Amino acid sequence: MKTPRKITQAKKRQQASFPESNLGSDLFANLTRIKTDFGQNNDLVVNVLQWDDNPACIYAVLYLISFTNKDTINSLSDEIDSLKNKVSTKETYSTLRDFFSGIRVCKEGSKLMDLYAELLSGNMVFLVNGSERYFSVLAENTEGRAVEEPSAQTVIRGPKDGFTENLNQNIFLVRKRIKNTSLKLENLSVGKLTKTAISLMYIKGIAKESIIQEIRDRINRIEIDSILEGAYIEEWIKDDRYSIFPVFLSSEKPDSVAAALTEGKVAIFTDGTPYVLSAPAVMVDFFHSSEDYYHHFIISSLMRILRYMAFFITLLTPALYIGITTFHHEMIPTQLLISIAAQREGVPFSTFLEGLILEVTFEVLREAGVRMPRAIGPAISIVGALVLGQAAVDAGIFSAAIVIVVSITAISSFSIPNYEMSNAIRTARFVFMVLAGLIGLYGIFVGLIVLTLHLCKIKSIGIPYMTPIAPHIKGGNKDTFFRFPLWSMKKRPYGIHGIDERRVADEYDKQDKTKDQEFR
Amino acid sequence: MKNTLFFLFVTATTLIICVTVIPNLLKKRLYPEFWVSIVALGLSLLISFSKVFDFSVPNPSDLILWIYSPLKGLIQGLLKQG
Amino acid sequence: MNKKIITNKQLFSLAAGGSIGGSVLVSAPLMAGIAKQDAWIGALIALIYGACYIFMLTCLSSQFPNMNFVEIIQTLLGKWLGSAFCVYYIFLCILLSAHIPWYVGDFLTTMVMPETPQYFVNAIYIIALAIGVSYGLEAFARASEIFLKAGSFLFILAMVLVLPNAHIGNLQPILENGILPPLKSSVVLSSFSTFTLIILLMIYPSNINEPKKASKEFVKGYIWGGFISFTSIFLSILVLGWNITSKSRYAAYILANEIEIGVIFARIEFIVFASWILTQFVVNVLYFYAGISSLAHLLKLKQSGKVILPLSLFLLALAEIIFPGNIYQENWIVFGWVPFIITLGLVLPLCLFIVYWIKRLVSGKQV
Repeated sequence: MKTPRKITQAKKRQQASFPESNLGSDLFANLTRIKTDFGQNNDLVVNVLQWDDNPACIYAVLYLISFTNKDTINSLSDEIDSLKNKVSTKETYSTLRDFFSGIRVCKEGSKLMDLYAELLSGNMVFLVNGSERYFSVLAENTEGRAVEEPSAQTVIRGPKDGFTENLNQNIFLVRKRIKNTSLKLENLSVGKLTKTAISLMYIKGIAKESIIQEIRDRINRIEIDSILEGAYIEEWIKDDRYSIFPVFLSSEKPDSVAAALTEGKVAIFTDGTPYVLSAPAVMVDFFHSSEDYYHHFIISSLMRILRYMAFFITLLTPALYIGITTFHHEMIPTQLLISIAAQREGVPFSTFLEGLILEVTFEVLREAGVRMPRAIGPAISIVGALVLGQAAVDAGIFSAAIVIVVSITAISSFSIPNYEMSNAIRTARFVFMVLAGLIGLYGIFVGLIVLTLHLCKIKSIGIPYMTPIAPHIKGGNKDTFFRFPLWSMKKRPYGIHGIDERRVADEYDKQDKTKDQEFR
Repeated sequence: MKNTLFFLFVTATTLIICVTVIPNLLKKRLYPEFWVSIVALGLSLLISFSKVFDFSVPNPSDLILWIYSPLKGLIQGLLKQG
Repeated sequence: MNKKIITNKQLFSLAAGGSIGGSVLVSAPLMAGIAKQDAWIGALIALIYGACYIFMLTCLSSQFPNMNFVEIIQTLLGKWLGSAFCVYYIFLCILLSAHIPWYVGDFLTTMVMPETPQYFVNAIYIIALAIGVSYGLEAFARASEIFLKAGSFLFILAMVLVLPNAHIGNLQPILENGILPPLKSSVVLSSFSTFTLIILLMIYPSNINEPKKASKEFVKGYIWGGFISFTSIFLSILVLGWNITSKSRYAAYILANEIEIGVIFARIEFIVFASWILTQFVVNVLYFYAGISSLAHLLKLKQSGKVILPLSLFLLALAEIIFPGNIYQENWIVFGWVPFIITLGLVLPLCLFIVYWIKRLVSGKQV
């Protein structure tokens, strides 16, 4: 192995005469150029090689040591050794290229910028003296987290694999589930600085062309230097940027992404994050869990109804409690009224203040639970449950009823499957509490009216957020509040799908179903 | 007290609208919008003034009553009891 | 395509909401005052000729598939007379947009929360109204589907729960004073629930995605709304008797006070208020929207969204002075509102129809 010669003035001048973006034919000039561009970068490895029996053919191998798979490097050098005798002076480049493209994934080019892109995505670049082209061999280091069970979206029944930070692995996890050639993948790169790889995945024919085009256009319009998570993209391409409600379904489970694809949605993979976005997503999608389809449909429907109840409990319970106890005593049955009044005796705060303080305390506890080191988890629960709950009531600072209300709210907010949706609802809850504290049930009504208006206004990639409900789709509500049996959901959700509308083949309708039935 | 709060509310909102919305309208040369806004804000201020300083402003409902006052006898016969 | 498009189902909701919202809580006492125990027959009559009226409206506006009501007026009546009627029409829209907050405020401050100042209630309502209008017709039409469903459900629930308290004796004797009093009372009901639907001509048929089938949905929506109004009047008389009905200003709410089934279903009269405010809101946004869009048309506003905020403040101020008191309001309804809405809702479209036919006869073909 040989280190490149020292840069001389002549070389420098020669370098200046290069066309700005193309490689020259002089290997050392090229190497110098690359080295100056990368600077004092000690993870760039440049190996200049020469065969003993063929002194005229000098070539260089470049890679970033931090980024390249060691095994690939080793096996490549073995492969090169086996080539030794076959290389002739004139055709070094083509021989090497043909040899490697036969056994490995190779890319060819002549632009300097492309060469840098190859290097920066972890590939090995071969440069040969006398050739103005380079070729790269795929040697990306795919080491990272192994496929694990998702941490935020857990299920009892159903696949337990979750996405990782590796884009290709995530694509593999979905492709493994949909073995069809119509599953299309488009690669984009966003972020001037980070050049993050983004992949759009959809099923041709099932996804609507106009929606795919819209997403593609919007992603291409993003003007930002860095993309580190899918949320960056969501925030950029959202229809209503000020709305707190999520309009992209983020999932870390390949099976739910596969299900979304079969409904005609488009999945957006971002490199470096285990969350995959699918769009367009409507309001009800955020209350569905992939597990709904893995249990009996009646049980799943009941679970869904529970979740919608949890939605209203989270949103309204504290507000209703504040509103009714402050303004509408007459609505409470007398027994309950007496009991609440007795509890509130000696409590120094108004109900509104009491509720606000405790809800904020709960939010602090939740935030602490997410941020704190795993090891001190139990300590927080003890402080939260005992000190705040029990002791505050015993000391007469808060009434027991409000602690119950806050606990119910807290628990039900976590039964909403999507964390972003649950965040949005918990934020809206404070607005309702303020309205209730101002003017009672009337305030809650007006708040609900405005919330409904807002939910009806926002759109996800042009699809109204409340789609199967408002605008009401006839027969489109089979997978909304209830989960109908799979054999009765014959069509894909309205408004999203493309040409291929049916889930169940036409022939199924024509079958004589009475034949299968058994009477005993 | 009650009317003072109302007056304050209307005045504050008018000021906020004047500061935030009105300059924008002028900048974009939306003159019809500008005049509609000015008239609406002026009338609201006038009404809120009348509430505080206790003078009466013409009530649009009275206008309707006046327009249809020739029909009063007819309606009386038609719609009142008996 | 800048045009806002709503579906037929949404037209149904808007028509039904518009028809319920104006009438359900307010019209029963007036009707009972006129027709006594036969007020419910008046409601039926109003329903029947109201459907014919709506049919006439659809016939008129379907001759001008790409125009809204203001444009129709200006086309048929010429520039000056047309503009004069437009101003009158805008006046109606703005006035009514201020009336409804007054009703909401009055209801809450008399029935539920006497210590709260009325302008405060109005202010919160008008903020919601401004948001509703600024979100635009499409968003609002979608929301109206939910409002109508929720409102109808809550109302029917209340009516079913109150059914055990009905006394059939309250209806007798039927037609004591002949058919005339119910006919008179039907005029009152239709001035609240039928003629007000003239504002829907601002969006029908120019903003409908399938105008061919839309007239059917329009009539169906009206009939649904009329049915709800009829139910409220019928049950008010059946449960409360005409005397109490005519003396209580918000009869349906008093009606729901009667609900007492077990412990759970007691004191839930608020659901009547909820259903009322939901449908009332539909009417109110429609009026405000119609007012602003006709204002925009008349004054050639380029961005009509910019005037929503000042006009909302104006509504708030107007709602403060519009009715000095309850007696004034009751008087105004009879001597002001009924002829006012009949002029704009019934006489104006009839005139337009006649002008249209004359023009057509003169020119011998489509105008």
